[in-house]
Amino acid sequence: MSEDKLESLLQVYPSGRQEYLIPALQDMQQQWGYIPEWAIKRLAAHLQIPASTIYGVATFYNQFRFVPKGKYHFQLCYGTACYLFGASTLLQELESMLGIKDGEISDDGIFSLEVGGCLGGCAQAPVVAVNGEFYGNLSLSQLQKMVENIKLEESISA
Amino acid sequence: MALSSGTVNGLTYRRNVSVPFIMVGMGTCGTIAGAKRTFEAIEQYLTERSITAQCARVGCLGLCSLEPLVEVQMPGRCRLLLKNVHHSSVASLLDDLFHQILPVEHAFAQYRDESLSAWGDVPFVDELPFFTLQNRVVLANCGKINPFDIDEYLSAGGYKAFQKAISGYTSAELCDLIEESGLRGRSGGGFPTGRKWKSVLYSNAMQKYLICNAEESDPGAFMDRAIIEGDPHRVLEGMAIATYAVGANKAYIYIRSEYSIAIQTLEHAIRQAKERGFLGHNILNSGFSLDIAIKKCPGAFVCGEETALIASIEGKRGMPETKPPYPSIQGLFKKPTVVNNVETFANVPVIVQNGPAWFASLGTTNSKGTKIFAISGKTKYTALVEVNMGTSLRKVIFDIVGGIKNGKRFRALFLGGPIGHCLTDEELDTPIGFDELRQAGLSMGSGGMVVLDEDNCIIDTLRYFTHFMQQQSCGKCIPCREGTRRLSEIFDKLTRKPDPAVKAAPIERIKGIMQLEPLADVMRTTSLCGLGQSAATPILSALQKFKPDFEEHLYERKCSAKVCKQLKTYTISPKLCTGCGICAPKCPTEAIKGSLRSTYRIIEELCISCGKCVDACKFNAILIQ
Amino acid sequence: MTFEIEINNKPVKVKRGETILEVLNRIGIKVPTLCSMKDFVPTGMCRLCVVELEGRDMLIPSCSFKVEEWMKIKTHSPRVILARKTIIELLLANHPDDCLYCERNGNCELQQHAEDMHVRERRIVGGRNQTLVDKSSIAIIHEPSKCILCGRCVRICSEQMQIATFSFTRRGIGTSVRPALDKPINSSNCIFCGQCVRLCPTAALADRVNFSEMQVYFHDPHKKMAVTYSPAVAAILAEHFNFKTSRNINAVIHSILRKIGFEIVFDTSMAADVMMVEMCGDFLNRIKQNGPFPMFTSSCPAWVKYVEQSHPQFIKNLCTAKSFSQLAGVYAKHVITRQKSLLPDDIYLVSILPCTAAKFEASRPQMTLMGISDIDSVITVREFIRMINMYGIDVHRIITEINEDFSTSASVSGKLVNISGGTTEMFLKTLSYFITGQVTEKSFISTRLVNKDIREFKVQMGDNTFGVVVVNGMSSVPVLMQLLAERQDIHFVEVMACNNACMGGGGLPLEWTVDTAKRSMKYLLDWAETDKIKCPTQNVQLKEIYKNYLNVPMPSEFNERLHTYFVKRDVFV
Ligand SMILES: Cc1cc2nc3c(=O)[nH]c(=O)nc-3n(C[C@H](O)[C@H](O)[C@H](O)COP(=O)(O)O)c2cc1C
Ligand code: SF4
Ligand code: SF4
Ligand code: SF4
Ligand code: SF4
Ligand code: SF4
Ligand code: SF4
Ligand code: SF4
Ligand code: SF4
Ligand code: FES
Ligand code: FES
Ligand code: FES
Repeated sequence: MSEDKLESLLQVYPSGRQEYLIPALQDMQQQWGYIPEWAIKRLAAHLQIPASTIYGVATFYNQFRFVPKGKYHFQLCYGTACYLFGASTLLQELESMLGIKDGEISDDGIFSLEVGGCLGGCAQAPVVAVNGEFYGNLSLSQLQKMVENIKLEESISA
Repeated sequence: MALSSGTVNGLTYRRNVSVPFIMVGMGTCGTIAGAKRTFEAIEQYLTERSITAQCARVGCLGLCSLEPLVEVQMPGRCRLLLKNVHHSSVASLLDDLFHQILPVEHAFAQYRDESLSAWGDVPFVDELPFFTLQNRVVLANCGKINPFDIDEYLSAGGYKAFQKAISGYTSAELCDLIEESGLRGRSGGGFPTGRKWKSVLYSNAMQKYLICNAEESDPGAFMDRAIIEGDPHRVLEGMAIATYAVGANKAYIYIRSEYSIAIQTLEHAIRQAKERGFLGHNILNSGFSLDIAIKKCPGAFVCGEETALIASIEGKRGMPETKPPYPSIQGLFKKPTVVNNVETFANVPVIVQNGPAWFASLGTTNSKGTKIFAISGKTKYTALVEVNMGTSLRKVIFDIVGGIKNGKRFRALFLGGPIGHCLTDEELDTPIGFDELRQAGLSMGSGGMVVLDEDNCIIDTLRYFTHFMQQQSCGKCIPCREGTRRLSEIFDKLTRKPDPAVKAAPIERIKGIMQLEPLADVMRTTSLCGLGQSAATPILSALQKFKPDFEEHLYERKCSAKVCKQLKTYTISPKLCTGCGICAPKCPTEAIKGSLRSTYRIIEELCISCGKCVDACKFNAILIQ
Repeated sequence: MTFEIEINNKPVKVKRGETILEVLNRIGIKVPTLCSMKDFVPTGMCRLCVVELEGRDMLIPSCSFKVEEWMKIKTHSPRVILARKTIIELLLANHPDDCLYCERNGNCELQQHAEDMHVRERRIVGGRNQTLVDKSSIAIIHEPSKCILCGRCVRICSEQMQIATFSFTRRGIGTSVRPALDKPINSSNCIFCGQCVRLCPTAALADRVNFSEMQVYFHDPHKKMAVTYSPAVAAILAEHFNFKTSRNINAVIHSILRKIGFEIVFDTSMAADVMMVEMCGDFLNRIKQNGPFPMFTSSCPAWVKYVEQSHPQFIKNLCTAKSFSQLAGVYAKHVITRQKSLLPDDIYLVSILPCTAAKFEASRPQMTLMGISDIDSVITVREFIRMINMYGIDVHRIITEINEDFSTSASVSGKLVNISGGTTEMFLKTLSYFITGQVTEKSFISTRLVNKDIREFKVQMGDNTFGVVVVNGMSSVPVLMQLLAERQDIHFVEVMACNNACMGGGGLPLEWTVDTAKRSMKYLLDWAETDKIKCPTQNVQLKEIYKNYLNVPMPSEFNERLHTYFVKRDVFV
């Protein structure tokens, strides 16, 4: 299933050309929310690039993850404006509430966290996005409430 | 549809409308503020009531803090600029407007037009310094035309310059023209654009490339994004002219993948331009062909550096290469390549259209034209502004974007983000210009301005920048890779409580400051690329200017801005404490001791200055020193 | 075109296109370097080689800047010296203080630079990257915390060896050189050639040292210590220790090994003869069964692993005869033991080789038969030199003794198997005897032509014409693969993974260069010329061994002691 997906995704890219490596990785990231190990093997064969090179390229950039995203993917902006408006406090709180750090996923697969550069909403700083939905001018207590609500919801549905 | 339009301070707008005309700013900042829902609410309002009106989405006008911004033009009335229109207020706002009532709390400005009837008690755009002190040349269409409609760009005079260029000029003439205009690279370096183009034009290679650098990952900069989101065709037109001028036929736009709206806008614009024959094969029967591809950067600040950018397009790790050879000799796929910034390209059509002399008449002796800045931080408006070169920084910060918010005092300006300079109040009188700033020991940077007020701590902000640089260093060369880490550690030591395990902590802290300058100097003179070379710029420029701040953190272990949490001492005021006991269980280190109804106390040695108790105490009994 | 520039206030003639560093080296000015590699395009990564250009604020790396007319260069100005020293101090600040316990103590480029710059104070302090040591592999140990990210391993492995085990990963202070997906080396595509170990300036990459483990057995009353070494080892030591060519180096090495405590000492040459015969056995079988052709040599374990992981479709093409070094083990455990009325298990056999991959080869399960491994421990020439020092042996003054083991007679093949083309030459000679029934005088391949990367030729033998390809170094393997895809008339392929074959092996002294390789190669060829037995089939002792001890025909069919098999390897390539 996933293998078929990968094959059709690779078809777009001619074999043996390194310039298609990043677009292909981006497609994979888009598809699965992360880069699975088996896919790297296949990609290496298709593009005829050593797997170590692919791994080296992928780990260089912020965008690529090697663990899946959680059901709730938190993105915290750590750009200058957000920092000046307290992003570091939000980060601390998120880390302690979710029990994970940047780039990680919680054991139950519910939460994942990504700390990134400016999201483009400096005027609304600090900004946090959950599954792509933006929340601006976020106060510590608003954030706490948000996480608690999710936790509540999850424990009810579970 | 032919549009009759008027202009106020470079802001074009349509005059006569027969049905209400509503525009919503839907750039990234607008979208984050909720513009999409606003737009949907408007459409829903109109359909529910079967009202005929025209709605359009536009890019951004540059008033980020007033987003979502909506412009409404009712037939016969002056056009209104409405601020903070959240979806919840759409209905009442439109109710008002359709009853010819002014929605007072949203009204920000109106466009003066003698033939239309004005709204009472709303300032005219030409009365607001935010607009009058700007000169919107490159941003003329931003927030005014629909970026998804090439016709609007065409009716604003779009692609005329390109047609003029390919029908009336040779490549060499165009390079001359750009050189004559005095256009210099807008990414900050100020390299003469015409000269760069010429060296590619005259290199004898069959294949040449052109790259538009839209990486812009300098935190606090969003000029390029706003241009692309608001007026994508201007960038494409500039690129098309440039590609023709240097004899290339393949162009790339390298853009941050986080800029999803900008990418969509560009993709759409490229498709439209192709359909209309402005891109593609044998453009307008001139024999010139051009293909523009979008490359999305998967996230790395250093990829803004041109050789790293090229490596990234080639599918490699974005690590810079030693120069020479410069990209104009050996660039993408080892072929001569022009790399210019988005804003640089966006300047090109209007230069070709109005002539080099017109462009050279704007600005200062060596810096011509205008410059766009993205201003964030503690100013009244977070905004995007375009001013003539030569304008003073003070005018930008205090007049155009309204000075500091909430009546606080100005503290510092970081010009050019983490690799730029740190400016004091006195330096704000410096006129904007590459050489003018350089003479003052500063540099222009790409256009990001971050303004700090008295509540911000310089040392903490520098610490933030050093951490950013440490993460963004590509790791290729030793001085930058290892140096950025040591710099960030020096600032950690300044802003944090010493680790009790390290006996010599004070000595290490002071040693760090002593090493700062020589280390920064080695990084500056030996690093491979601009990132390492300028990683310590903000620090070096702050070191003398903000000496008291350094000393206070260094010797007194104090942060008077009360930002560096760990330098704060937390105590409980016996007078205010009611003995409710709420704080004690919140303390992660059990530093708060006491028994109910008596005064609680904080054991200083145990306190890690997390501040949790302060949030918990309802009686404000916990004091911070 | 030549012109003049100024270096340290003196005019110097330079050629256009030369880098500053090349000029400096030529005129005898030493500038420290870390990332620069001879014959590789400079990367300008380390910045240690910076020099000052008069009138310029920025210092420039001499390795990656070409000379230009206007240049006035200062190579050791105060600014330059301070910058270089700071760079070294920055490295040390993020380096474990582990010199005294380090594999490279006393032989470390970083240590040497620190000493040259007179670093005497921990001026720059702070956190250090702490990482686990990767000891997963039998041949190579990777200790990332000692890595200074010079990139030499990454480049040699991908640009020369075509393997690309390592890549730079992550960025900034997190940058690290790692195999794909941070997997341990033993499950990576590393072929254990050891080239990266030889190039690494620090102990970030080191070979697994076996000799201290082996020393334990000197005290084991149940084991007799045996050791074998190839003539190549003798040639390398002759070069390394600067022996006069008149010295009988074999006698010296014998005496050293006996002094260290080995009771049985022998030269691998006899095993090389066995290998030639058994290769012919496999080849003749292939002729009988019409393939599969070409037959690949399998005496280089690095090449073998490469085929297993990257071209499994060619596994059946690998010659099944064990390599000469493994056969030396078979010879010791099954022939020498019986000659001395011992059991195979009574001896502990050490093999000295210029090769790190041989450590891996010896550990392959198919190299152990009924609990008895062919070789118990492989040590590199590097380790051997260290042992010589440890046992306090002055190689030039040692009194040489000759004993009975030394007198094994063998053909010239033992001297040639470590040289590119040598195996082919001896194989064809042996094959020619089995096909025509006559020993040929002629040379099939001029071994004096060794430094060519890839050679292809045809040989006539009886009614047969054989297509032969000889590949010197992995860098020509892509060409070989192309050739194999296009052509059907190739019957025999020799591949030695290292450039200059084993004379450029991964287990050589660290200061080994192409020149030293060439000189020791010359020793081997000279010695070979004086040898009396030119073809293994003329070796009388060999025939006796086959008859009396191995109890197999010569050549044998597939004999489980003399032959092996190969497996597909599922690793990230
Ligand atoms: C660390 C670093 C980051 C840079 N980032 C950007 C960037 O985000 N956008 C940009 O246009 N130029 C950036 N540059 C400058 C580019 O290298 C290049 O000079 C520029 O794109 C040339 O365009 P211009 O001549 O039009 O200014 C950066 C340079 C350095 C050293
Ligand atoms: S200066 Fe920094 S970013 Fe630039 S090449 Fe060196 S390590 Fe990379
Ligand atoms: S600041 Fe934090 S650690 Fe200190 S007393 Fe309050 S809660 Fe405890
Ligand atoms: S919460 Fe405030 S009032 Fe209550 S015990 Fe703590 S310090 Fe006193
Ligand atoms: S690698 Fe060199 S510097 Fe590092 S610990 Fe070993 S000997 Fe010392
Ligand atoms: S060099 Fe110094 S520290 Fe090292 S062993 Fe000798 S005396 Fe001790
Ligand atoms: S031993 Fe050889 S194959 Fe393995 S990493 Fe080193 S150079 Fe590459
Ligand atoms: S492992 Fe050795 S050779 Fe490889 S980059 Fe690190 S220091 Fe250089
Ligand atoms: S060429 Fe020789 S030294 Fe190199 S891996 Fe092969 S057998 Fe070992
Ligand atoms: S800094 Fe956070 S959105 Fe810009
Ligand atoms: S208004 Fe669009 S960038 Fe802020
Ligand atoms: S040797 Fe020149 S930069 Fe490393």
